[in-house]
Amino acid sequence: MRKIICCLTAVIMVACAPIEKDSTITSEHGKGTGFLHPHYEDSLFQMTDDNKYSVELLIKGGALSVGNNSIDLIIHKNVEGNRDVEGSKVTFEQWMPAMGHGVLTEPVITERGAGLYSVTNALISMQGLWELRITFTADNNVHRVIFEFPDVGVVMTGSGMTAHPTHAGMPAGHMMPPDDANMSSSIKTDNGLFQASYESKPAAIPINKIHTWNLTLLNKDGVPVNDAAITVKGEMPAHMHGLPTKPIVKKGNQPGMYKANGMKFNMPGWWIIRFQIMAEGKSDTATFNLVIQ
Amino acid sequence: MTLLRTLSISFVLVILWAGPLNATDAQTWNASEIRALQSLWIGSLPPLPDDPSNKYADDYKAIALGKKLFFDARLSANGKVACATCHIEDKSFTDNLPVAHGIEDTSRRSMPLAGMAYSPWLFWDGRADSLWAQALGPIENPVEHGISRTKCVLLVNEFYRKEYKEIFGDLPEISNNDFNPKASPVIDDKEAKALWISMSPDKQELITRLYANIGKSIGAFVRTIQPGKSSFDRYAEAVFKGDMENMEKILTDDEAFGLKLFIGKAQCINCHNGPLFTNNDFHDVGVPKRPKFDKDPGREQGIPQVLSNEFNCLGKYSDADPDECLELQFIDTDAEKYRGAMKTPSLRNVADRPPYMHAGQFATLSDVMKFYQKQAAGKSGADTGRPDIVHGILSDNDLVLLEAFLKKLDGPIYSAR
Repeated sequence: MRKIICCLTAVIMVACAPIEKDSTITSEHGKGTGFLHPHYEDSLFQMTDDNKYSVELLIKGGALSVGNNSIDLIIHKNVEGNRDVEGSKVTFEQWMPAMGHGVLTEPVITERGAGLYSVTNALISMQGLWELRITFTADNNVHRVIFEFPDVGVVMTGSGMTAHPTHAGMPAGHMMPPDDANMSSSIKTDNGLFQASYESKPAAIPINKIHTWNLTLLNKDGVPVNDAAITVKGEMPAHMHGLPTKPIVKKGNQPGMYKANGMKFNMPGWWIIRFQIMAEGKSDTATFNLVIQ
Repeated sequence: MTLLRTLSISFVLVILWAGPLNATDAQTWNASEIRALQSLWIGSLPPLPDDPSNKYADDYKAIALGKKLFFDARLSANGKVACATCHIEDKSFTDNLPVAHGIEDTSRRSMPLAGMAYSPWLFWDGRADSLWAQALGPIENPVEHGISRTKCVLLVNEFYRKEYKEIFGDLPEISNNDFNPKASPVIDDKEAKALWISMSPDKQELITRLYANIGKSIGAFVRTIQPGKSSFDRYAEAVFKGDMENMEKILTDDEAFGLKLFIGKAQCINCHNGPLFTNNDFHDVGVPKRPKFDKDPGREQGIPQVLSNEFNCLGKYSDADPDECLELQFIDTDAEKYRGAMKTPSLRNVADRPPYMHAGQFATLSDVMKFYQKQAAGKSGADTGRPDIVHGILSDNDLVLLEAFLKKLDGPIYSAR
């Protein structure tokens, strides 16, 4: 059986230097001997099966909730001297055992130094039992811990999923984008290389009807980008499926203009549409959030 | 793992859905719920979409001939199987068997037909892209009608020559002596294929063209099979008018609670959306496979089949311009996504037509509800690792309410008289 330890109440403030609450830290963990301990009262803490490494989990906002979560991981090694596990290849997966699936959206993991790894965009797509499955490399081996969350809920205030005032048209139970999601139809691409804008024809996006989107692409200097190779994918973050069609993006008849033919949405709710753009010797992705009524 | 539960529960903010509802809540609808009711209301059904692949789709003579053919059991190997054998008019145009039975048992449940003209894909796996292409499949299937296209054309020539000519124009003299009634290019039988190959290309073309027209005629009739107003629709209309008195007459509080669950916590509306209660897409909901059979590949196999179907929208027997075949042009060919996936069925009249799922795996609606409940709790014993569906965590009482609501999707089914 999997070993899952969840040490919440046995809180021991350790001798190492305190880490600031916003987790922009440089840990001085590394003094002393014996077992590793969590840094925080409200963290989740777990040793690997072989007791050689510890993973401490600190969830921004206090609790894992439906919507996008930001989580700090602190990985330490149970040795004397430098305990910080640095340069590790960390994977982070949100898993729903009852459904046998995770989520399509990949979290973003950034190493911050001194054993700290920040995970952002950790999407939880629905209520229920979730596992956070974490692997990391250290000393040429892959290590694994699993944190279990028996009843992830919807946070009614603060970050994560809320009753969203701008999407009042949705029936209860539909998952809404997080408050900070960019809902604009004109956005900078993920790496800031291009400005992308879409326009649906017809403007009110229909359900269950094939239609066309016009996509306009400008570079950083505001110059229309021609001859881009563009592919499109859609995703419903609350579900495990994307568009029911495979749209094709072709060059339009105006500078910087493209046509995405074959767009079709078969469910109301929150969709993410990603245009993978290759142009001017670079590759970037335009990520649009939209809510279809 | 239980040690976790007590410890981490304090860590996770749990917000339960509103708690038990009281009676007035059942009949009270907020603006967003009303929009959901509008989306499901039969009045939101758009006009019947054109079928550019069938120029006879709305021809009243084609409809009349199609209706005769639909009910004609002579178009079968044993003289006992018509379309109507499995698509029984007073059983919502389906039957009550786990899997359809023509000449023999098939591998899947007969699909209900009401509103199918709105669907871009036909069959559980969507291997046909029009009603007329769909109609032609079972005729040449050895376990359904079990006759060749050649035999079918000979029979129509014998019994319906006049009607056929009035619709489709000239019909050359076809003598039974000139054609072997076993000849077929698709029946999985060496003799049938050898006989077909031995026919001249002109004769092959003639038979297939006439066969396609027979399909177009049957498709024109099936196109007229449409759902009528159910209790749910009358309730929705009362809600739109704020007519509380009629609302309470049409749906009990339990049934209205069930509707609230349907569009809310249970998330049924995610796939059963729109006025036909279907998104017309394909999903693997993780139902157990048919005992003693392999898992059905579903849409994964339907995709290559519809692409190579000679009667598809882009094929030579279609009346459509290629530009009009949008669904086929933009078909999603992601085999992994559609592995084991079956078409979302309409839920109109669902309570009248057990058993349920693509191979009748569940005898009652209540069994279906229990399956989804167990599945959400991870205890369904289903044979798939990645079910597509997302239903909420449902209590036993929720299941009762949902079922009570589903029974109110009752309504007449109309078809050409």
